[in-house]
Amino acid sequence: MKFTVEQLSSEVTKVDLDGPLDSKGTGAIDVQFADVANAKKSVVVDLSKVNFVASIGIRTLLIAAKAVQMKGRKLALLSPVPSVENALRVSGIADLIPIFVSLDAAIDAVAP
Amino acid sequence: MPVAGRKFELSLRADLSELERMEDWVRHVVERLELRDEVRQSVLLCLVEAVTNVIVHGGESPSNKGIALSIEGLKDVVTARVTDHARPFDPLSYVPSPAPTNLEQAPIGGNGIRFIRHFATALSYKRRGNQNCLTLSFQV
Repeated sequence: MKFTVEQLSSEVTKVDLDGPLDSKGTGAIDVQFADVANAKKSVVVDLSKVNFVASIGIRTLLIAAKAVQMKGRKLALLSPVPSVENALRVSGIADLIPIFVSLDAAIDAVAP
Repeated sequence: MPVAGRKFELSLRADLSELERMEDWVRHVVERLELRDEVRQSVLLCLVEAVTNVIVHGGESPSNKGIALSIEGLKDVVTARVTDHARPFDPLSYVPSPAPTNLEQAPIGGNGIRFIRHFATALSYKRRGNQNCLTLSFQV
């Protein structure tokens, strides 16, 4: 799993995930993700290169979203592939964390 | 057209460190069976969740030692079986908590059974002696 951080502005961070969000994938990014989530910035998580998500991956996304919210900011998900989006919807997380297909729309939604 | 008439088996220790090896094995098997992507994802997801549940919730009794997996390709269906020695647990009778309505109160976890029920075409559970036997079927 590749984890790439890009500062879009002083208020918004973009995280690109590349790989499966399975036990190995989440284990590789949990610490880095926690650092980003606790940085008092809003976060857009690009899921377009995530080809698989298990419940452990849902857990990682949920923990990050909760941490960002506790700092008074927002987290949004960007462009999941259909199979991943389906899993997000089945889990119910899609009702709690907004999903966008456009980066601009995601930034608008999370920017303070 | 998926490959039928082949059966693959794997034995695991009931330990989270085994998950990675299991995931690699399932990916290898679904590729050998030449399943379409959607079915591959469903088989992998359901087995990951079923085995994780056994390891995490099966208890730490000395009897919770091993997990046997099999995946068999048949004509119109792929069947996966998970057999373990953990305490009795019937995922078909388990009632998942209602979906959370806000992020703050959302529980961390609880999606494994939800995924298994949604992504498997059919499920059956039997308690045989001191073993749980979960069978998951996937339409190919």
